Amino acid sequence: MSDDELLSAYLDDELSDAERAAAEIRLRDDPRARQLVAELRAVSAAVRALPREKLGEDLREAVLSQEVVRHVVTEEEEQSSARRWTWAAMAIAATFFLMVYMPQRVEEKEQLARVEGQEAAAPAAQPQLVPAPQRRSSEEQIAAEADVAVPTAPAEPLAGSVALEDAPAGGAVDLLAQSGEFAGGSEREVFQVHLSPRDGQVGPADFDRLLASHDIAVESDASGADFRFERRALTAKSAEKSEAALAEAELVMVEAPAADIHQLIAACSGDAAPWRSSRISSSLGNESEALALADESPAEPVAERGVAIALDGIHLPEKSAPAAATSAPEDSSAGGPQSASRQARGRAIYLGRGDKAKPNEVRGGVGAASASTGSATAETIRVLFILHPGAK
Amino acid sequence: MGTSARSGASNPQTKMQHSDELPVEHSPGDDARVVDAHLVRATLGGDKDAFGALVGRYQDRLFNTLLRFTGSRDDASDLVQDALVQAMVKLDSFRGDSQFYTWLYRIAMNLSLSQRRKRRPVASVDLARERAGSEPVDRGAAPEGNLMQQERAQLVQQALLQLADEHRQILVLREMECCSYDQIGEILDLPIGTVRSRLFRARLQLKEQLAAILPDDL
Repeated sequence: MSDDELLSAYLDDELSDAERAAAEIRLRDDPRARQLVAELRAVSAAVRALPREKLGEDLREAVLSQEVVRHVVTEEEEQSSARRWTWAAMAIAATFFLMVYMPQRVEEKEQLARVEGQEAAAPAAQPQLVPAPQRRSSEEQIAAEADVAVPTAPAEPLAGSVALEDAPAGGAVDLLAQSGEFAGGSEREVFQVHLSPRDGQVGPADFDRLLASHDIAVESDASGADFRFERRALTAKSAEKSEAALAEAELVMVEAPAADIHQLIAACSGDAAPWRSSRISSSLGNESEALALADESPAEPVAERGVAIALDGIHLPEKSAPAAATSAPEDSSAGGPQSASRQARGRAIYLGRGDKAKPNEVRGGVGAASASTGSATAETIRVLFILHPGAK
Repeated sequence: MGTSARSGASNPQTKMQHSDELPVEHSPGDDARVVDAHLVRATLGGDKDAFGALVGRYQDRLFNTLLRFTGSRDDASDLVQDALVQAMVKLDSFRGDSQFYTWLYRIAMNLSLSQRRKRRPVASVDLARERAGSEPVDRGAAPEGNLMQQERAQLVQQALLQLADEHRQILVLREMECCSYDQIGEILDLPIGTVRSRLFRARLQLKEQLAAILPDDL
């Protein structure tokens, strides 16, 4: 223990007799030691002077009623676990399909290239297929395939095959996410941003204008959007709080490139913005990304512990084409109706109010979405904006 | 939380008597350990109201401690409830070697740390915004004095939240819960030497934070 640590323990009367005697000698002879003890004592006093706050409610009834709630939550967790296992099994199957199918297909193309290469340049050496030192990914194999000199048209895809070149970068999991079914919450990242009006006078129309100014098109038809919530609260109390907070909120899903989302969030809660206190969280607990988004907001984000309603799955309808961002009507009045129309950089879908969705219930046009939306790309991210009403 | 034990260099006689207990509010004729043990036995015997009595005894105290640790009333409130529920469910594993509150506190702190590992640090604006003086405090001062005290308390709380979890935790145990080094070591499963050095570093860190925001006080 250092001498200074000795002084700290001296302050707490946590020294042996010999240590205390040594500390007192030092305090007598060393003004710096006396200064340090005085400072440590002030620090201690500052913490001890903090007011003793009271809970403000009696938890007896809530706690004693938890045994029933706990059973319910446990059953839900079991169901959720079973659903996750189902998705995991499908992901493994898809991965296995890629592993088995892709090498076969590449090999067939390589054989075709060899035959055609031999025919086109008979005495020339056939393309050197350098054996890879280790197994390469499908993407690398396809890229390597492109480097092989093939003088004729590329081979036709196999009948009935999937256009794997169009597969998103995310691989098998993203393929599942676009399969027309819900992507499990653990597979698709959805950030949530809570916005509260500064003066209670702002609402969705203001958010529309903000979206338009960022070239994000509002899609009027949300019939193909499916989403569901999962109850994840440990206790009934936190579930009630979260449900109450969401009940009157308007939910808007925005999908756009990350850079545009960052700009949108910065504009949402800036000093001159009509909203304040953006609370940002990630459906996957991806806190670093959520923090990166929060950095765009001048208001310090508040973590949402105990959020009972988490976005469990979301499926956006097929992207309407051509998507265009239009200025809000009042903005375009001077230049004629809807005169300002630009190519949209992203899209927004109003999902409705939070109280319309019940935990573990699906809302929206189930089954209406096609199996090949292709709306999610590696460049875009999805953020659920939760527009809370102002104080009444 | 008006604990009677407040150890210090000038009053060594106030050191706590039991190394395995956190100091507990005492009222005349109320031996906390005996009462708690009775309530625990009654709960295990099927009397749910007995556990309700334990909730009533400790909910405010645990809340205040967790509030200082998390910086958020909502978080602290939820943690108190979660910890009490967990304590009720696991009560049959409570052996009575330590005091009930010490056991409860450990459950709550484990819950808090577990959740904080999964999440980013909780911001302090929640606390600063929400504790606007409506909550009862243990002091009666003039309104102006109250305001200054509240502002000062907010600054101290913000400084606390700047510390690492382990530093804030040990400071709360020592300064808010008035734990001895032995008790802190038992709760945190640390040797006494580590308790001493960690507490010293925590105080130094807090001193630096406070010097920046309350330079006149240090």
